[in-house]
This record gives sequence, structure tokens and C-alpha cells, in this order.
Amino acid sequence: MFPKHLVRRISAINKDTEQIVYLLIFSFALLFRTINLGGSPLSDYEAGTAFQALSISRSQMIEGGAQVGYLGITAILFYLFDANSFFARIWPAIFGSLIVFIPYLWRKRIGGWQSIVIASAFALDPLLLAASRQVGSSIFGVVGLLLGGSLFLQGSWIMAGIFLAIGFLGGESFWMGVTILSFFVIISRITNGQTFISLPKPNKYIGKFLFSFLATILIVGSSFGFYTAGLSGIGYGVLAFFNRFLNPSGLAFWQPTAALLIYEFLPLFLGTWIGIRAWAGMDQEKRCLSLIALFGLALITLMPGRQIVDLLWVVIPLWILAVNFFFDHLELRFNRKLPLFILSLFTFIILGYVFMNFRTLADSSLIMANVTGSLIAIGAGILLLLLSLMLIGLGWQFHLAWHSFFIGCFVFLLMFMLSGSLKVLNKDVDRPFELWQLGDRSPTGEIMVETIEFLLDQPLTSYVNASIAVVNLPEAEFGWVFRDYEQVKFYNHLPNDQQPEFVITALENIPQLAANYRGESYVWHKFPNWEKMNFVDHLRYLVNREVNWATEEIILWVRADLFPGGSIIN
Amino acid sequence: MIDFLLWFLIITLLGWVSFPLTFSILRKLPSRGFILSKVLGLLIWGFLFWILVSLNLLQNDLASQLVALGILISISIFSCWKDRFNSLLGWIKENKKLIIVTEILFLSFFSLWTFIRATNPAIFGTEKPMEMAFITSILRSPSFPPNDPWLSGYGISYYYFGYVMVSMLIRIGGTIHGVGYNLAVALWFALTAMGAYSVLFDLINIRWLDKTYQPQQKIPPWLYGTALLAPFLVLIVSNWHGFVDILHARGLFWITNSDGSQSSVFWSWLKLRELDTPPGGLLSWFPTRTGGVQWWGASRVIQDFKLTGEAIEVIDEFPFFSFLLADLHPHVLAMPFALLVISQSLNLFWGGMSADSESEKVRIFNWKFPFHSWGFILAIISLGGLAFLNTWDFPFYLALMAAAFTLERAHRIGWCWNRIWDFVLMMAGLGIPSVLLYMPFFISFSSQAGGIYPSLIFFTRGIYFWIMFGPLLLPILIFLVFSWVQSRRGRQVRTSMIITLILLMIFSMLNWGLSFFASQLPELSSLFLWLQGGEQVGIYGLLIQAFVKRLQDPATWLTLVIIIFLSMGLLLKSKHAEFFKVKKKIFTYQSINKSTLFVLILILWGALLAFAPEFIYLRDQFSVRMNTIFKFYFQTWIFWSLSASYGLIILWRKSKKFPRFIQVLFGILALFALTVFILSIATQKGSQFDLLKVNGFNANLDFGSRISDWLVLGIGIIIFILLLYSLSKHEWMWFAKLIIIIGIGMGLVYPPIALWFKTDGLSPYGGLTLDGTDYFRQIWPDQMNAVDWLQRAPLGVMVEAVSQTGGSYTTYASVSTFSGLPTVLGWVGHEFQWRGGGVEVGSRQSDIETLYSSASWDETKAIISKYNIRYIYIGELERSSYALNEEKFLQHTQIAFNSSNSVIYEVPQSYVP
Repeated sequence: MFPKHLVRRISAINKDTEQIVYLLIFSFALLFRTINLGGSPLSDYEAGTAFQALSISRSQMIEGGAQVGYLGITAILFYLFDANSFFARIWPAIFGSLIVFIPYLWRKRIGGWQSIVIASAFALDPLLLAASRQVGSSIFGVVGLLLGGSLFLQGSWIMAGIFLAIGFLGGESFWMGVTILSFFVIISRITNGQTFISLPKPNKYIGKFLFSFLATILIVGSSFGFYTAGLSGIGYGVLAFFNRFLNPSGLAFWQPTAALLIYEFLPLFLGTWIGIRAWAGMDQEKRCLSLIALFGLALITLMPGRQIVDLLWVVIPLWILAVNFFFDHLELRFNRKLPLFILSLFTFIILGYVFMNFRTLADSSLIMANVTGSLIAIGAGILLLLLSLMLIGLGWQFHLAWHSFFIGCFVFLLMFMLSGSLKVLNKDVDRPFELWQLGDRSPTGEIMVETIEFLLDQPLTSYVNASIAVVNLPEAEFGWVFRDYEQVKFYNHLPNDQQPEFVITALENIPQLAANYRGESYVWHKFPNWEKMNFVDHLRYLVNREVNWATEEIILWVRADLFPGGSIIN
Repeated sequence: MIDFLLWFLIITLLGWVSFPLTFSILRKLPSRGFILSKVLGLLIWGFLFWILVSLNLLQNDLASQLVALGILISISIFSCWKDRFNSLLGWIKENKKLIIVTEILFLSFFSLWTFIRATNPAIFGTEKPMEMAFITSILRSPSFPPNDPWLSGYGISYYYFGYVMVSMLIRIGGTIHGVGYNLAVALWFALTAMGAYSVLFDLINIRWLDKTYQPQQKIPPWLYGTALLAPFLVLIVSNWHGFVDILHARGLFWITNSDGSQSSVFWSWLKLRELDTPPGGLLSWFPTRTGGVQWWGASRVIQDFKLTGEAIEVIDEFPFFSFLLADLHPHVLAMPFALLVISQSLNLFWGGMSADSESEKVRIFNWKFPFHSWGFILAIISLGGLAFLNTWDFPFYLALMAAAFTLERAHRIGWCWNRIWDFVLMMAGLGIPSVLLYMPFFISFSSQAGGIYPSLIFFTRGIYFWIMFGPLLLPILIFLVFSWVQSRRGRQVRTSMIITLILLMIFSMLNWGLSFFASQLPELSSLFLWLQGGEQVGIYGLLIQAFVKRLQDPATWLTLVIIIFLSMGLLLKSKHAEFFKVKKKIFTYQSINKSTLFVLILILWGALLAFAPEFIYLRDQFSVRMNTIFKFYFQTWIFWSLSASYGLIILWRKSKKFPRFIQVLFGILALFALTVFILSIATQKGSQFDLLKVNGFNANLDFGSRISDWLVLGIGIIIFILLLYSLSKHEWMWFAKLIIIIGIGMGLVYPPIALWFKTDGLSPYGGLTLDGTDYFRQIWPDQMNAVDWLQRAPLGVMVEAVSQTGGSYTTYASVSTFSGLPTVLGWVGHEFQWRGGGVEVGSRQSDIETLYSSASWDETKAIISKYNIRYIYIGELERSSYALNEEKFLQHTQIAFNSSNSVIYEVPQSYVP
């Protein structure tokens, strides 16, 4: 299928071993994606989508959602098992893990070992990990399109049909991918007259492909028959993509690039390096990869509705380039291993020292007197590193010094990246805001449920029967929070003749019946107030995750007679 | 302007997206369906969207429209897979001129009528509110069938496909509803024009290719221009009422009696509504009478008369009137699609639907349809679509397609009685799948049709018929006579006469038989006799009187019999030649090629549609011929205007050109007519310039007291001279052509007059705007603010005042009309019409009154619960219609919106299950 001159020799890896290695990577990726998966509550953004899946599983009408693929297969889980955060996020996690097989399908083209390293990087990458652990992220579109497309090129028609269909049902990220890849194909055609991909002749098998594609769309798109009108979601995906060009998401145009710097510095640095070298030389494949990454970043930066999880379209080509760099330029067979190790370790320590001082600089509690000290420490660290590199270069060889420095940097950046990945696994609700977060993961819902259950323990035997009125607040979020309650009603206005046990209103919306209720306010949402942050604030956020918050509050009203000794006036 | 451009862009893209499909299916048409691709695209897109939403596979929203569009694109690409794609590209390269002409023409027609709509955009009066209500309701309904905007809890019981298409365009264009309505009128005008252009272009093209015997012959340049005759005759030329109206306006044929009163034998005999009384006001060549609507009369030329002499209103719209009126009624919405079916029939007639191989044939069990599957599917989508657009059209066009198929078979393999079987099979083979394909509509539709009634005493007076169809009858009759004369050999005088007489007898027997039968049925007898005005004379007297009256005024049926006889004779002649396998001889009959044969079918079909209501009609809510004449004659107009445009081209190209001086005289005639028009308008605006200050003249009555009188006289004299000159030179064709020009000229009097009145002289009071709600915003700003609020509010049942007298054609139910939210009850009479009775309406009218006026909250609450009401609207009409008790709403509901005169109370949602 591939031109012979482009096919690289697979290093001597036994095929069975290779498959076992990939399975291990997949297992590892899956493990990484499922640790603490249901530990933190769904964000408001996630709850909106998960509640749609829940409504479908309960055979209720929903307003169209773009993530039809997700809704279809998650509704089944909710129907068969239970509606909770874990099951809400499990399918993105599984799909996110499947991404490790994409390098496997291209291993003949990019090399056996390289593919394994790329797969491992995909398994650990913080943004891929974050996207795989959130409801409503771009993972379905990305994996569906790339895996389906790869399978199609390999001639695996049925699987290609299934994955492409799921990608197709994956919302706007699919169309973003189609846009980026189409741009690449068009540019390649114009500039080189080739696209580096030779499409198989599908005439004979097109039926199989179309059948599996259409069958998957019909089955998954209709939520296995639970919600046939869900097929509209395909159109919602297109609309959501176009809406990205119209409706701002609140993220500034520079934030995707900043996110790349703080989460993906390693692939960004190496990928950019090799991309530049490819453009200086004549390596067409690497040029293409860098072009895709560049166009992807430009698209995400320019569209007002940008999301950080869209950066997957940038991260994936960057990783391929970065791993290429690793294999093309790094020589590990040195005679003097000890100096290499020592200098690498030294570089790592110095970089850590410099970084820690840099963080101190950005600390908002820092007093001016300590600024000079930190600056001196940073300068001294850099000077020390340069001196040691020069001494090693002069004493042994510059080649060794360069490689030691590179390995030190690499390990440092790898550790930096892994720390980012581990933060993704953090279930602590009070953790700092991360740019890849889709919405706010407020614990208020759980606290309210606990409060209600605590208050009802005495008068009622079954708390699911508690009457709760949610007045003029978003149905999806509260529907998800109170998904186990049977007597939850959503009102546009609270009727005068109704006195439910609990009423939830916005802070500014106090019901007329307040005399019979006691209320407590909660912070329902907490968002970074990007608009009111200046440059220093942004810098502080990027280094230390310190952020100015904007909040939305609600009031939980509890009927007075639920308190000991309380009574109500009729 | 942006909306206009956006719509143009959307429909153009839709056309290009669908072109591969028309290219594959309409393969025998020289245009390959390019000119109609926009219509086809809209039809299939609309069908896919509607059926998928109806089957609950999609939701009624923009996203689903995109999904349907995606499916259309996929189908279109698939239809042109492999080799056809290259031939498609080749065709595009070879036909750039046609493509450019088509796009320019479409843009021109669309712009023209957009401008006209901008001069009188108000969605007010006649049935515009009803159509607006359907559109807004479709836009707000979550699924199909859409909510009935004027009867909450029920789906629309009407042929609403056209409104689905309009709402799709409004939604995808992000257009304001009021603007979308007017753009839709303009778009349908342009699509109809292009449909007519396409039919004539292909007809003439094929004829040209047949005659030259050179398949690769390029399209002659003159053809692009002459094909415009079809949209001209279909859409611009009108009936002769305008001409008659100006004669009346000038006070001609009136005499002043000794007592000072005026009388006229001519106008009394003519018996046209509003024209049977002396003209009031200032007399001029421009209608200025009071007590009527000048542009309206043309749609009420025909009247039926009971035996007692009582007149009954009959509707006789024609396309120019309908588009000027701008009601988005089903007959208007169906026009482009009817023309699409005519094109498909043309393609079928020329063998364009025949399967190239056995595998291409449509197979239903063991029965193989001789069509390729794509063509078959498109045919049933189009025919079923017509049933859903305007159910009346379905049988006409199904029969047309079946006839085209039968005649194609007769032409190709010869005539035998099996051809009758072909016709029947075709009717069933296309009709049944068409109905099945649109089954969700038929299930939810309760027809108001109540069977067939005999039209015993009701018949169209000859003069009415000629005023109605005169501009088309003249070219058609002359074309038929010309073709008859041209093909002396083999014409079937005797057979044709026998068939025509049999037809006449069958219809007469049906008429008499049904009448007799109806008079004998106890439950129908008195109603039937009352309807015909025959209570006094009884059935036998009625039968005799009906027969006598038809003999006294035979012009209509006699004209139709002549047309049927002539067209049938020519059609049968062609058959006969093929029967004897004298293939070469086909070409020796110069006038009878396949294009002409198809035109003869159209003429015959038009004649049969006008012929049938002379004897029978469909019973509806009104129990008279009003709607039957309206729907049948409208289709006749389409068939005959297409035929007339073809006939004109043939007559003009077959005959000698007029000499130069006659052409100069034509110029002078046109100049005179224009001057008369300008002078008359000036007079209407108060100018005295037209008036000659001659002593002894009664300026307001005497002919000759105005400059324009002399100009009109000049026109008459020139025409008279021209006719005499033609006769003296024995140039019969010149004579015939002059008659046709005069006839069409008379048909061109109406459009400028009607336009002038309808658009306030193209300078409307509020300035140019496309927003049809602008009028309401000016007179009821508060109400329209409430409408705006409701448009954004969640879907729910609303309630507003209902007129005690039913409210039809009034401003009642405006809030639901423009907001799209279903109201408990809107126009009562219309609900009765749509549902064939008042069972569903029930006690709503009194319940609404109770809701507004009752002091008891419990009583009010019960009504709220009964109809699931969420929004209670109180505005001027509510305050004037009921003894309003508003206090209970203040106590028990929330004020959701308040703007001076208009309040919306929102019922807490807990009341809504």
C-alpha cells in the first residue's frame, strides 16, 4: 500500500511480542484513564451531556445534542447499570485508550520502535488523558476519525466503517479534524501534487464499508432504538463546529498556545525543532505533519469558540515529530556513560532549581525584597549549567556535553509532563483550575444532596420521595445532581399553592414563600475571571495556577417544619 | 437585502447540489434538468427532512435539515458515480451559456418579485395570516405532524408540505419570519418562472433537433430568448377582466335615461361582479370605482347562478393574480413542482425513463416496471409531493404522466388495446407508491372532500370562460387549426369526433344520472334541490331547465369540445402512422413531431380539466363549485399557457414575418397604450391634463372629451387597418397572429393596473420593506413586542381572544399566528373547513370566554388544565371582546411580559403535566 521507498524497516521485534507490547500499552492507558474516574463530580458542562444520556435511557425527549455517539452508548450503560460519574466517563476513557493503536496501524510507515514510543506517549500525554476523562470532549471525533481513517487505509473495511461512524457521531471535533486534514490534502495537492496517502480502491469492498458505517450510525445514532431522533445530532455536530466560529468560549486567543507550553512543552519543543529542520531540508512527511500541527493551532487560535481539548489535533502530529527527533538525533552509545549520566543528572537538578525559583517569582504572596534573590538564584543556576556544559565539552567532548544536556532537559520535561498527567487523575475538587477543564466541577451538588439527606433522615424513611422544586435554574445540571430523586420538579415560577420541602433558586430570585423556609447560599459555579486578569495575573496562573474567580450562587431553601421544632404558616 | 442574497445563495447551492441527480434522471431533456435543479433540490431536501422527522428519526430543527441536506448530497453524488461524473463535467463545459442564462434569469425573476413584495409586504388580509401561522407553527413544532397553530393539542390537518419547505428556508437562512414569508413568495415566483422556461426550452429544443436531424446541433441563440414566452404567458399575462374593467371605467356602453339614471344592456348581459352598476367617480381609462377592489375582480369573473337567478361566488385565480395577492396558498406553492412533473412527463414521453438494461428496471415482485429505478423513485417523490403540496393536483398530474407513458408506448411500439391497460397500470404503479411514500401525511389528514356532486344548473357562461381564458384560447385554437391544416393526410376526423361525442355523452349522463340519483335520496334531495335553486320546479323541471340553459349559452362547452376534437384528432393521427410502422412518415408530417404531440396532450388535459366541472364538481364545506373551478381552472391555465407559448413560437416561425411598416405600427400601438396608461394614472391622481376643454362635452361621460379617448380610438383604428390589410393580402397567418396579439394585449391590461393598485403606485406608505409584520408593528407595537417575547419563550399552549363570529380573515389569532405557539382556538371557520366539522373545536369558544371573564379561579384553573395552557395573552382584542377579569391572573400566575397594552401571564409550569 505504501510506496516502498517510504516503508521503513521494522526493527527486530517479534510480531507476537509487538502485539503484547501494544496490549500492555493499551491496558496501561486504560488504567491511567480510569483511576479516580468517578471520583470527582461532573462539571456543569459534563452534566449537561450526561443528563441527556440519562434522559435517553429513561425514554424522555431531549433537545438535540452534538455528541450523538457518546449519548447512544452511554445511555445504554445508564440503562443497564447505574447513572453515575464513572459510567458517564467510561466511554471517553475507553476511546481515549484506543488511540494507542493508531501508531500500530502506521508502524510500517513510521517504524516499529517509534510506533511503540508514540503509543506510549499517547497513553501518558496530559491533554489526551484529560480529554479521555471528560464527558463531551473531542476524543470521539479525534479517535473515530484517525482510527477509522487508518483502518480504512489498511483495508479493514468493517472496523473502519464502525470507527468512522462513531467519529462522525462525535460532534464538532470530527468536523474540525476533517477541516484540518482537508486543508492539509488541498495544500499538499497544490504544493507537491501528492498527499502521501494512497487510497485503496474500494469498489469491491465499498459495500462492506458502507454497511458497517450506516449500520453504526443508525444503531448508535438512535441510541440503540431508545432515541431515534438522535440522528439529528449529526447535524448538531456540524452546527456546533460552525458555532465555534461565531460564539466565543471565553478563552483568550493566546490560551491554546499557553496550554501547549504548560502541558505539552516536550512534544512542542521537539516537534517544533524537527518541523523547522524538515522545512529547512526536504523531508516531505515531516513537513506535512508540521503543517497539520500548525494549521490546527492556527484554526484553534483563530476560532472564537476555541477549547483546549481541541489541541489534540496539534498534539498528535507534534508527538510523531518529537519521537522522530528522538530516534533521528539521539545517540546513546557512548563510551563514557558515567560523565553522561552525571551531567544529565546535574542538568535535571539545575533545571528543577531554576524552575522552582521561577515559580517563586510568580507567587502573588512574594514580597519585593525576595524578588532579587530569586532572580539571582535563576541567573546563578543558568550560569552554573552553562559552565558545567562548557567544562564537559572542553574536558571530554562537546558531543557528550550536548547529549547530556539534552537528556537532562528531556527527563526534566518528561517529569514535568508526567506531573501534568498525574494532575489529571487528581480527584480533589479544590484543585487548581486547569485549562483543559470543560466547565466547573463544583462539589455543591453533592453537598446539597448530603444536606437534604441529612435533614430528611428523621421525618422520612425514603429520601427519594422528598419534594424538591428547582426554580428557574438549568434543568440539565440539577437533573443530573438529583437524578436519583423521583419528586424533583422544575418550575418557571413557583406556584403560590405549592410548598415543597426543598426549593432551590438563584441568589437573586427569592420566592414569595420565603417566610416558611430557611435558606442557605452555596457557590454553585466558580469560573476563572479571565477578563479581569492582567498580564501578571495570567503569568501567575500559568506558573502557579493562581486565578481570580467569578462565582454564581444559589440558595437551598428548606421548609421550616423539617427543622426540629419548626412549623409553617398556611 | 442580506436575506435576499442569502436565499439566492442557498437556493443556488441547492440547485447545484441536486444537478447530478437531474442530470442522471432527466436524461432525454436537452437541459438535463439544470433549469429545474433548484426545484428538484428543494423537493427532495424537503421530502427527506419531512419523512425522517415524521418517522421520528430526526428532530424538527436546523441540525436535522443539515442531515437531510447531507443525505441529498450523498444521493446526488451516488447518482453520478463513475462514468456519469465525467459526462456531467463535459455537459457543463458545453452548456456554459445555458447555465449563465439560467442563473441570470432566476436572479432577475427573484429580484423582480422581491421588489414587488417589498412594495406591499403586509401579512394582512385574505388568508396570509393562516399561511404565516402554519409556517411559524412548523418552525416551533418539535416533530411532525406540526402543531395546529389555531387548535392546540392537534396537528395541522391540511396539505402543509409547501410550508415545511418555506420554514426550512427561513430556518437555514436565519430569516425573520415576516421577511421569510415575502421572500418565499418571490422565490416561488422565480422557481415557477424557471419551471415554465425549462419546459418550453426543452420542447423547442427537441423540436429543433428533430427537424435538423443533427443530434450534436448546438442550441440556437434565439431559443434562449423565445423560451421566455412560457414564464410570460404563465405568470404575467392575465385574463381579460382588466380590459373589460377599463371599458367600464371609461363609462362605455352606458346610456343616461330620461330620469337621469344610467343603464346598459351590455353590462347587464355581462353580469360581472362590481361592473354591473354604472361607474362612479371620475371616468377615465383607469378603474376608479368605489365599493370594490379593482385588482380583486379578475379572480371573480365567473359566477354561478341558481335557477332562481341568485349568484354564487366562484374563484377563478390565475398565476399573476395569485402571486400579486401573495397568499402562500397550496396552489401557489405547488406550481414549480407541477412544472417539474410536466418536465418529468416530457422526459418520460421522450423515453428518458426507460431502463437501459434489465437490471436497471424497477421490480415489484414479478412485475417489472420498464423504468430505471432512479427515474421511478423521483417520479413517485414528485407525484406524492404534489399530493402533499396541493392534493387536488395529484390526480391531474398522475394522469398526465400515465398518459405520457401510454402515448410514448403507442408511439414506439404501436397502438393496441393494451395501451389502455398500460395507462391503468401506470396510474396504479405510480399512484399507489406515491401515496405510500407520503403515508404519514395521509394518516394525519382529514379531507374536507365529501364526494362528487352533479353540476346540473351550474355551468360556466361562455363569456366568462372567454374572459377568463381568452388570451390563451386564441393562440391555442389558432395553433390547433394551423396544425390541423398542415397535416391533412391521416387526421382522424371521424374517430376524434366519435370519441369527443362519447366523452360529452358520458359526462352528460353522469351529470343527469347523479342529479336524478341525488334527488331521490331522502337525506340529500332537499339540499340538492336547494343548492341548485330548484325547490319550486323539482328535479324534472331542473333537468329540463339545465339542458335549455346550456343550449342557450353553449360557448364554453362548445369551445372545449372543439379543442378536444382538434387535439384528439391530431394525436390519433400520429398514432395511426405508427400503427402501420410508417416510421419515416412521422417526419413527413411536419407539425407532428414528439414535442408537438406532448403539447397536444397538455392542451387536451387542460381542456378536460375545464370540461369536467361543467358536469360534476367535488363537494366541500361550501357545497358549490367555488373550489373545484378554482383548482381545475388554475391547472388548465398552466397547461394551456405552456401550450400557447409553444404554439406561438411554431406559428411565428412557420409564417412570414410582418412587413416593416406593420412592425412600426406595433411600436406606435405600444406607445399609444403606454400614453393612455400614464394619462389615466395622472387623472387618477387629480391631474386635468388628459381633459380636452371642448364646449358641449360632458367631461365625465362623453367619449372624446379626453386625449386618451382619441389615443384609444387610434389604437382601434390601427388594429382595424392591420386586420383589413392582412385579409386583403390573403395573409391568413398575419391575420391570425394579429388576433393573437390583440388577445394577449388585452390580457396585459390587468397586470399594470392591478400592480398599481396593490402597491400604491409602487410607493407604499411605509416605504420599501420585506418585513410582513411591519404593518402590525406600526399599529400594535405592544402586541408585536409580546409576539417577540413568545417567539423566544419555551413552547407551550397560549390563549387569546376568539371572535364571536369566527374571526376568519380578521386580525384575531394574530399572536399565535406570528409567535408560532398553538392557541386554544383561532379562526373557527377555517378549523371547521380543515377538519370537515366542529367535533375537535368542541366548546373551546365558550371556554375561552369563561377563562377571560370568570371571577372564579377554580373554574379558570380547570380550563387552563383542560387545554394545558401556559401563556395567557391579554391585549386590545381581549379587552374589547370579553368582560375581562384580570385580578385572578395577577393572584395566581406570574406576569411574564408586560408592555403597556399587552400582558402575558405565565401559568406556573406545575399545571402543565
